Amino acid sequence: MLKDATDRAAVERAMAAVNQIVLGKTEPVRLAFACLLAAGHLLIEDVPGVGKTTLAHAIAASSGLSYQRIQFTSDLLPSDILGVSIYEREAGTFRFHPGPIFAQLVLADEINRATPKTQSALLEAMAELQVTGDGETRALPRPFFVIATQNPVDMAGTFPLPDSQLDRFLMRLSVGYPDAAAERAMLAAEDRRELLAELKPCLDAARLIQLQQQVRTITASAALIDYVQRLLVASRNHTGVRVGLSPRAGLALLAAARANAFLAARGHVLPADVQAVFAAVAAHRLVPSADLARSRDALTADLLRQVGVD
Amino acid sequence: MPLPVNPATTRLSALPLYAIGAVLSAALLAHAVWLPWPLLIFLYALIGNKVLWQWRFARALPWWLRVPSFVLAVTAAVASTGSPLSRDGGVALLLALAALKYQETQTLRDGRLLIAALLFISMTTFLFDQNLLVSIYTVTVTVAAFAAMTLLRRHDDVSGLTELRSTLLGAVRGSGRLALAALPLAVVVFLFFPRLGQPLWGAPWNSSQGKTGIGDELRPGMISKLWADDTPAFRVSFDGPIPPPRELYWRGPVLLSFDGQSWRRSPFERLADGYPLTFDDDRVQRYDVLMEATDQHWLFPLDLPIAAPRGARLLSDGQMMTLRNIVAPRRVQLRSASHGQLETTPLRGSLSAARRLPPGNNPQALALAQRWRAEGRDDAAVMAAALALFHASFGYSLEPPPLTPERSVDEFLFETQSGYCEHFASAFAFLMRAADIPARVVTGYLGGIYNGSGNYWTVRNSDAHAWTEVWLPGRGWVRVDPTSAVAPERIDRGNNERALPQAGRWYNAGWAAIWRDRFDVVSRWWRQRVVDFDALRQQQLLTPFGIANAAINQLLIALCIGSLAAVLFGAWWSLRGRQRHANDPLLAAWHGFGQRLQKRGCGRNPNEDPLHFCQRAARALPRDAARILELGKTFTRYRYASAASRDQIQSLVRGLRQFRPS
Repeated sequence: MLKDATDRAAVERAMAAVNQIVLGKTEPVRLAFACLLAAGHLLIEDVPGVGKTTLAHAIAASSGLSYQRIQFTSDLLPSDILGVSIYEREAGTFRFHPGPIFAQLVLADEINRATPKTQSALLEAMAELQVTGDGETRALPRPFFVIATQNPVDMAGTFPLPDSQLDRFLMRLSVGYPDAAAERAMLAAEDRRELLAELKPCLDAARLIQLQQQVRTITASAALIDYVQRLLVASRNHTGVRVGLSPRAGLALLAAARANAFLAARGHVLPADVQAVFAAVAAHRLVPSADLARSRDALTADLLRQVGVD
Repeated sequence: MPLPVNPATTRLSALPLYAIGAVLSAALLAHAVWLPWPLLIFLYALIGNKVLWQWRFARALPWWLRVPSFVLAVTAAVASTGSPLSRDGGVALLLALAALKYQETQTLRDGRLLIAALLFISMTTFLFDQNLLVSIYTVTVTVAAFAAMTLLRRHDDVSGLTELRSTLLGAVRGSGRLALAALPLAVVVFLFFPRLGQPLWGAPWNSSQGKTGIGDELRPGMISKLWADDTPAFRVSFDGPIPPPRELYWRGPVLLSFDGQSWRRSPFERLADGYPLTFDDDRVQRYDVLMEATDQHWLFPLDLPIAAPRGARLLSDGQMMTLRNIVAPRRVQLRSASHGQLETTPLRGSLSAARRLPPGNNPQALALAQRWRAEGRDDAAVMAAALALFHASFGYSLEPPPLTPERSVDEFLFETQSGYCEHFASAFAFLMRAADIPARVVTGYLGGIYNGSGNYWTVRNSDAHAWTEVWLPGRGWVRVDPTSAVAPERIDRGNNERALPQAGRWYNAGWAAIWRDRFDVVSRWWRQRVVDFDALRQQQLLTPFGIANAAINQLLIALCIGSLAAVLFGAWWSLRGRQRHANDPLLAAWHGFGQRLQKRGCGRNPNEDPLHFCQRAARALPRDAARILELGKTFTRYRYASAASRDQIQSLVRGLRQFRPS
């Protein structure tokens, strides 16, 4: 199974490179790469200024994928993302100018500042891996990986993503403030953006697709699937949860756990893998009971505590 | 999973402390009905102080608060309830000490000790009352105490209400499940543990707060005190046709001597002369009376009783009394003849005592009666005149003007002219005696409430009544109820609902009455089947198995067999959740492995990844580290990586089972 040691080494190099730019955030970086390997999209949610965009940039640069960035604003239109057909006088026909979404890695910055209509255009493309316009369906490139960032929804000037669409993201991460040492290093050293420019890609599209296929072959035993299922059932029966985890969330959990096991150089998934990715995969898919002011992260911690491994 | 700790040094977190406080408060509440209220408030203040201190400062109460509260609480308990050797004093001291122990509770050991004490303290409620509600409440407190015990090791990692709720619910559910598993054993021990024919010791009864009820004296205001008391005095189920409520005179003390102020029982109990009742055998009523505890010896048979049951005697004037005071609910079977004639030929001396009046007492009434006589009326005409007088101008009132004790009859007859049964009975008997007709006052109860759900009558203390008996030649003692001349509805209704202040109470009407009746059926069942289950009934328990009168050794055998079955059932019931491991020997062996490590202070969290657990255990037990890690890795591989062969699994199971931490 571990014959792909060289491939995984490339991923590890990419992670190391990102960790040099985003200091003291090995766990979010690891989860972000797990998300990439599980072929899911990533949502990074945190207050402004903690390095969301830097993290997304670094991942994009180190992964060696073709890369576009969309800064979401309240006046952004769907066509600004998907592309537009323009009449060309010389040819006498309409010609499609593809939007920034036609890239292998799309960074959707501050996604919740755009109107719901624009958000939907992106999210639908993410789900279907294709764009339909002017009666023509155009496939998006592969691999297709969206990293979206957003500010916490209670901040001014935001349109919160609906619960149903949050589901399109495999993981939701928050970066969090750096610890004291990392922050000091950051303040003392040179500008992160210059380091970013120097970053060399460690992967490429073909290799990434191959890695994603390998991740899919990692063993999840019956006992492990039992454990995942117990987590799903517990989430539906928990008093603090209004809407529990869907079967799709269960699939997402397994996929993410497989990627985590892959990063740990293991050919099989352990409960520890499920636990490592559970908060990132499950927290944004749970709908807490309205009457109980209970954070989603506390709920996922509670679920992990409640459900026995075997 | 709990790790071994030193209970004397492990400090309790806030949640278990609050839980113990709640259980203590609940146990205290059960005693609120009798505990002197200043003591009750002080004990609650002690608990509240501890909770506040914990909440505000999160540390132990300082000594300068604990020492004075100790002195105060113990002094207050002893001063307000009497000797610690009496029932009340003992329980009050126990409660005070529990509240004081709570003051200084800081460690795990304190907590366990206090909860164990609370389990006992909650049982002291039964020294005071054993009715259904009290029993349910006490069992609830016990379950809560066990729940608090399971919370003792909880740390304050509870964030938010949901988790608090799920934590508490989990604790209550767990201890409730324990209680249910123990229930069969409790039933077996209740049924078969040999009971003594007589209690080993009596519950020390405090006469200072004896129950209200009818006594052997009638003075103004005695019965009206009972009207406020809606508790059942006794319950009756008839065997055969039920007489109309107006006929339900429940005969109590017969008051013969009048000293000018109050009526009392005759100092000479007339037992030797026999019981001169003549009655028709075909018209006898049979019924079953379930007396509540009164701490008196009166039974209240239907007028007129025929014979006394075992343990009671019947006096010649129709009073029935038990040989010992009724300190626990008691069931008797009685017969009565409502048509019977009592003492048609007078016994020696009985009539002269029934004619006696203190000289010079209530002169106006005396003069009135003598005038009636002087007008040449016979006995019947004098009675009719007295009843007509009441009927003409007297009113029935529950709050009559107060009377001067020495001339109460005169004032009542000529001035206030308003009163209730005891005024009428007393004045009527006085007038009769003044006219030289033998008369006496009978106290007891009238009517009752029919409980349709259980087909029985409940007679409450508020049904207390007083009436008169006069002796007529050839007819013997004849019951005359002068109250009926004034307030016939008081008699007709069979109970005092309309006439009394609580008539409009919500629980006497509509659906509330139905539910009250149903509840009464249940509490009667409880009383008869559970509280009254005594040595005699226990002996008959094995009758279905061909043993008519079970001896102690037979009961002990039944106890052993039953307990074994109950324990096995309880064990099966509480372990059945683990059944699923039975068909997975690998998992069972793994759990056994975890339990052995737990004994070494390195328990497995149920939600912990097996490999993490082994790494943790290996760090804690370096000498076994290699073996633990190897077993953990193999287990993980077989369970999560590739399907292992049967032999491989068996060898791993063996390895896990044989593992012993060195």
